[in-house]
Amino acid sequence: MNRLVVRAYNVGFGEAILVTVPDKSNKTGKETIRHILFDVGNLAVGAGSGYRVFEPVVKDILKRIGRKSVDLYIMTHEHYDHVTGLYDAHKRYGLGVNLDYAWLTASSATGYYARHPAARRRRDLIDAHYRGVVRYLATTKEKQAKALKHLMKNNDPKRTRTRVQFLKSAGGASKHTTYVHAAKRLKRKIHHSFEEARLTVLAPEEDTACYPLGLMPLPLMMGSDSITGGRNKPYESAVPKPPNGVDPKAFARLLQRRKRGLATDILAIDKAANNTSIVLMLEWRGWRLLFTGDAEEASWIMMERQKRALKPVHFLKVSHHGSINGTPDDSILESILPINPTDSRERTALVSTCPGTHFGDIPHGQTLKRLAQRGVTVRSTTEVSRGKAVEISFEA
Amino acid sequence: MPRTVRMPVLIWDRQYLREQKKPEPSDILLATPVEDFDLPDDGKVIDGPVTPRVAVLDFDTDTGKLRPGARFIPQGRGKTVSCFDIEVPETDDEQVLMKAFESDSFIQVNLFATVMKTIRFFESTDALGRPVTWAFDSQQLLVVPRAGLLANAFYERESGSLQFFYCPSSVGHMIYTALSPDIIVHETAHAILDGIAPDLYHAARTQSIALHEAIADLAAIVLTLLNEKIIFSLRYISSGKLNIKAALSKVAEEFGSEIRRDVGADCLRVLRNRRKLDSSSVDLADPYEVSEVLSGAMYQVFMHYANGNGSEHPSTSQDILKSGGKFARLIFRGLDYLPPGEVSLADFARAVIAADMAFHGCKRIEQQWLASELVARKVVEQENDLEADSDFVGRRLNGVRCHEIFESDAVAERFAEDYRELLRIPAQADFKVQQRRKRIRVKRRSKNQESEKDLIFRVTWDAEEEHDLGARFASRWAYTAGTTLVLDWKSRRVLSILTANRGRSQYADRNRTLNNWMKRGLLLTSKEAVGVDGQTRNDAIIAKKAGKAMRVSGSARVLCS
Repeated sequence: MNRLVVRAYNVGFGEAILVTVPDKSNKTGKETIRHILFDVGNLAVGAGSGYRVFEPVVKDILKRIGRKSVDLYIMTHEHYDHVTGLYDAHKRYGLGVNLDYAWLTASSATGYYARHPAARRRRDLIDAHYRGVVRYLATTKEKQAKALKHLMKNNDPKRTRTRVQFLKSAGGASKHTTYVHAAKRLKRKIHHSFEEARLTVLAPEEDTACYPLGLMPLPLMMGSDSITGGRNKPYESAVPKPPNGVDPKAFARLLQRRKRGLATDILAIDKAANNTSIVLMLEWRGWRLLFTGDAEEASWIMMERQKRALKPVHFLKVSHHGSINGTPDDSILESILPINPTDSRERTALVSTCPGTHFGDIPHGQTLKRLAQRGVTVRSTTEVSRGKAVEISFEA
Repeated sequence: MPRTVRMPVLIWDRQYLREQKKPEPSDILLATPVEDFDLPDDGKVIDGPVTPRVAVLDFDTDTGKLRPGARFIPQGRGKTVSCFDIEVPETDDEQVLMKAFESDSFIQVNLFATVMKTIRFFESTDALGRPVTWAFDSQQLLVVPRAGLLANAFYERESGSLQFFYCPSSVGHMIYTALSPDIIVHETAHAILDGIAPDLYHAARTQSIALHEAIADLAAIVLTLLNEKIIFSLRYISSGKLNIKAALSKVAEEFGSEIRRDVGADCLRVLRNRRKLDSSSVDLADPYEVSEVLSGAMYQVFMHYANGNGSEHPSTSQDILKSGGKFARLIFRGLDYLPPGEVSLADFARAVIAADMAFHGCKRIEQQWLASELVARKVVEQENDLEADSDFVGRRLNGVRCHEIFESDAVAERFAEDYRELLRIPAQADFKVQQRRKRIRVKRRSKNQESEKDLIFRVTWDAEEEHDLGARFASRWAYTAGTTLVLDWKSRRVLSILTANRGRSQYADRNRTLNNWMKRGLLLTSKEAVGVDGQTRNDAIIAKKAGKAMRVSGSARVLCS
């Protein structure tokens, strides 16, 4: 085999990418076919049976790896739409994938928050806000937008924790699990088995407190109960009336505004997890491929600020399913996909996405247009039917 | 005797209770960080506290209900002082005091009283010399003392409210931003400044937003400097060892030391700094850092007042109090002289100097202090850049009737058309005359006071310039420009005429700011800003269509997160 192959599966709203890499031994020159598997998960938007897609996907992955182990599994971040696939395939269909090495985002490590007090405070705040929103939604009689419900599910710490726990042990099959961040030195045989291919982690930073949280909530349910997750006081679903002497219009406007903060809060919580995404540069025989998870603007800014090696690439996995917030602005984009390419090799951007969901403009048309305007071929998992994969090859 | 409502207010940060040396029992009154604030009783104060101008709404964010407001107790027969049903124990026992301060009624009344104290300061002849007005569509500012769990507090025009959050400290107690005098004054000042200079709320310039922050910080510091009990107590408690001028330059100690614990800070911001308007000193796209350039420069002026020569030697308490008064008058009288539109730090300094000239009719040494400080901090290149067009001592606008301009929109518009050139309205530009203001100008001459009236006339127009932010946005961006003319009501002499500076530096500031917001994902088109609930997101700065151009809306929200 003389080509590197990226297979991106159409899993609906989520991500599953298998990269097949011919890897030569530096000593013997012998070539070994190695595999990197990213995430596998989806949000199961709408259908309620979204797990079904994992049967054909995981079967195909097992077929491609020849029923051996995946050399390196990468869980980019702890979001439901990125972590649930291997768990569901194992539990529901008995399809187990063995992992030689597993890289999980640093903040998913046991004891991480004890070592990083600022991140701990941030996590507590996020959890408290999440619980507050859950309480509010559970008691209010107002109809909630479906996109809000999906976002709640994607950020549900309990639901995600079970899946992440499974991946941490990889069903007991992983030989080595490492919690990675940009500053961690990753060595062959200890953290991975690649010899020829070069792997560089560009994000996240070890202490996730460095990313702005951006919470600007005007919440209704963010009281001290939300710190403990307690349900000490029943929530009053009736809208309070303005007290004597208070301008009723101004009062109504204040309540309306505070309620609106709910959606903004959830978005901020979502962003916080996205910015813990592992961003990986894979270099192989002159090709550079950049896998970005769901990294958002703040992560890109941090990579630029920390002078991480943002080099021109030939392949970009478009971050965050093609959302407006996943692709950096032109000044950063220019360092990875310059308008004037540094060589004559073809350049491809791949988006793993699911249009027509309640999330609105995903993938964001203008963002894909910006990539195309740089002379990049934009591919999408939507080119194939659910359960199938888009294949992109890089000849040696 | 005039009738008043007497309320207890915390006068300094609770942090001092924990850190400072405990006084002798006989000095409890001096050490208790509470004093009485007397609000003239117009008969409109009710439970809450609620008045037609300010209403406290104490939500219980665990239940969604409103907590009962503090009970108002009207004065008895033959008495002149009313109060609220609230008790502050006279003790130096920290635990007892803390518990008392965290009672519902204390939190509500203290917040209301501090907001009112701030409003009354701004309305005094030491500052605006006129009633404060709000930028939102209500006469009543809503104040939420416990808005939820978050290390934050903010003013928000869209809801016409001040919202104070709370967060657990690292040592276990709860930090209420509504119990921090500095934070309350700071947020109230934001609301007041929004009424004075509403264009800043939608500005596309970091310096304009930084100005909001600097004024709010300066208000917090000034109200401390004007407080006799604080100044005398600090000197006493510290046995004269504390560098009072350094201590007084710190804003929000309890809250700041908690949220900035990782960097070892002991407060939210220090006004005694050497920040320069230069990328090697501050992040020019960060409004908080840029604000410190101006507030630092102004605080240095206070140091000149207190020391005469800016030395580090301790001044007497009386010196500090007197200096605080002069400092307050210098800063806040200038606010109404500020031109409308997207103003810079230098524009504010020009307004301060113009107002000082108008009040005193001459150049004074403090104008020189300020100018040289701003040159040193690279806000302007040379002192001449701060000279305002206020040298109109002999000039009168004959035939102009101030009261007619003040009262009639039609007369005001005709005046603007007639004086287009004087007001620097570009030829062919459509303009908008803003609500006129009338302020009292008090001149202190030895023991006598003379008061005169000023007419403040503001006119705005739209200007456009090009910024390439990619295909998502239009290439042309509209912003508000304008002129403020101040006329002596009686003589019709021009006291000041200021137009926002429109040089290359303004363009560069706007370009940097817009690009920064875009990069951080904060700047969104109206369509992009729709959140997952189908409503416009609270956190977005929106690029709205304005004809073929785009215009920034809601940028002051960057100060809320």
